[in-house]
Amino acid sequence: MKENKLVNFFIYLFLILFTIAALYPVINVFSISLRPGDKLLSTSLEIIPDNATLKSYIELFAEREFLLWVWNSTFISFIVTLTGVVLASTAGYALSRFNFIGKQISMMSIITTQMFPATMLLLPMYIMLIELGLSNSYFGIIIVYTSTALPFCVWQMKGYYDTIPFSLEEAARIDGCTRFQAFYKIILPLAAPALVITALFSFMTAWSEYIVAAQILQDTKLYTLPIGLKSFQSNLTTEWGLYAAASLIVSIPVVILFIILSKWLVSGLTLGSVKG
Amino acid sequence: MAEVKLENIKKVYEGNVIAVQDVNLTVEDREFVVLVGPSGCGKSTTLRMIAGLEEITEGKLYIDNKLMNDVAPKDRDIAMVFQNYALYPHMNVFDNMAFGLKIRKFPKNEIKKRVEVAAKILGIENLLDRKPKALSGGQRQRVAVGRAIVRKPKVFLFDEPLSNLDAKLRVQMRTEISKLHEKLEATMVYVTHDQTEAMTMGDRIVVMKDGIVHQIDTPLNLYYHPANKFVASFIGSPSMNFIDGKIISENGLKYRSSSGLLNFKLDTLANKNLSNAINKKVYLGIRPEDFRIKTDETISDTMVTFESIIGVSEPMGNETYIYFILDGVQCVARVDSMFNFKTASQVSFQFDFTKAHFFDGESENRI
Repeated sequence: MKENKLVNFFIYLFLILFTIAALYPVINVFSISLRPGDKLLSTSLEIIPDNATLKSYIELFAEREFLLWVWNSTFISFIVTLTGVVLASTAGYALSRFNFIGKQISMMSIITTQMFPATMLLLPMYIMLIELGLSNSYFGIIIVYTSTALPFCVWQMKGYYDTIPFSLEEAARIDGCTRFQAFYKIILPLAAPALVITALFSFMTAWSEYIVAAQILQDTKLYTLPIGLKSFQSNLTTEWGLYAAASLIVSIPVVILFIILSKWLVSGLTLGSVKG
Repeated sequence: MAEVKLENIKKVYEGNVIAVQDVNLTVEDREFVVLVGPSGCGKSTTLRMIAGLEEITEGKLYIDNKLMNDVAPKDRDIAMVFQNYALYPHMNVFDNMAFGLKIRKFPKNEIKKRVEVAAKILGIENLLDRKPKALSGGQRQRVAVGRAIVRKPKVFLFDEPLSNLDAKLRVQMRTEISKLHEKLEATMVYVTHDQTEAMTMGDRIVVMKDGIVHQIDTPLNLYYHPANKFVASFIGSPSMNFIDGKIISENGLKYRSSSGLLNFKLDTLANKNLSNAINKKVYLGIRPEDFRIKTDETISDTMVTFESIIGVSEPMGNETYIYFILDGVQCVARVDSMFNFKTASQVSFQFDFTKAHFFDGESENRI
């Protein structure tokens, strides 16, 4: 018993330390966003400072193009997610269920693209988009995001389909479905956990990406949230209040998304280990 | 009328693997035909070709006199019950059974009526709201059968539907499917590797091995008149005993086993083919139940007597299986349970050679 208590003590100590490490920056950013002026550093440990003000938040929405960036990011992320889910769910299905010439090669090349760091692909992609006249456009950035997110998603979907018995589709086809009906009426609903992960991954790829967006989008009207945030920093000063307020708002949709989808995430990640 | 006709059906898989070859079979309207054989014999592949889930490499398939080779499974008007039930996990029992009708755009009240009737036949009325994962194996099996019968298809296909059930339930479901066949008066094709299932359920049985049909016949004909050594060994449990030997001509026709332990005259047998097998290697086939323990001195012309040493004796309750070596071959006899021998005791056995079978040593066909 005593030993158990001691072990528990250390487990909790460990967990508490890491929780603090994870939460401190968030709390700190929250605190900064409430401070008047652009004070980054403060000796006070108060979370809500004495002279707390929502000025930064008001300015963000009223005087800056913040809402436009929110819209840009939402729009781009939504299209990337939609394209990602549609393409990954169908491509993964083909790779899981059909035998065709070039199947092995295409699967290998899909995985190979994951071995290059994004920064390395930046230059060729940039040149390609310029040549196509797609730089500084929604369409260009959507293509880049979708193509970076897809390989992982396709493999992920294929892996999940592999765990669904063939006989379910066969039963559906005998019951009166065409191949495609069997896919979307039977297989797709069963693959919901994998679809959720695919959607989340695609969304995150687009929502929080900075490096590629910074190269491709020059027009402030097209800015996504990450570049918009960065624009509060200039060579001489940084508007820390705005920066902190915007950071918090940017992360809210992601947190909400994770909370809503967490049930699916857990079941998606553990699937395959327990079946029945 | 729903007759299924297979003409020279052949299936070749990638890499030139021949799975099924030269299958010719006509399943008559309302007939219950069982495809049976060891695993990998092509029985499931044949069934899946009838269903349209596998392409037919060569040959022709007719259902109701219509060529079906290139018809999609949904348009063949068949239903299939799978080994793993293949119930849709995200739908409850009602929706599972109704799915095929909904896809075919049946009116709602008709769907409800049909599902309720089928559920009643199968005794699953109280399960209609449940999801498949909340059902036992036997209940899932019933739902799978229910999903097939609501559609009232021309042909029912069963792919080893009982092999995932425990022994007791299997026997129960076996009789239920037989009853269902009588009630629905439907054409059914049933695949199993279990010869007991085949014998008890089939109007006719197709015995397959290595992609080839070895015999198509009624259960009793298969048992009493097997076409070859494989069919003889596959049908019947425990399986038939085979002893190597020769037919010789020595003051008339005689059979002599390779060591000479068995040596008896065959004159009384009316089998003319035996005289063509003189000096050729033959297998003598004796069913375990045709052996008996010699208890008295009654001498019959057709009885052959020999002595052997008991290896193992397995009491089954109503009968006893006795294992012994005859002419270097392990044999089993099925005798009355009153016999209880100790291992290594010497026993006199008898069998009636008119009940024995002879198989050609090379072709293994019955002589």
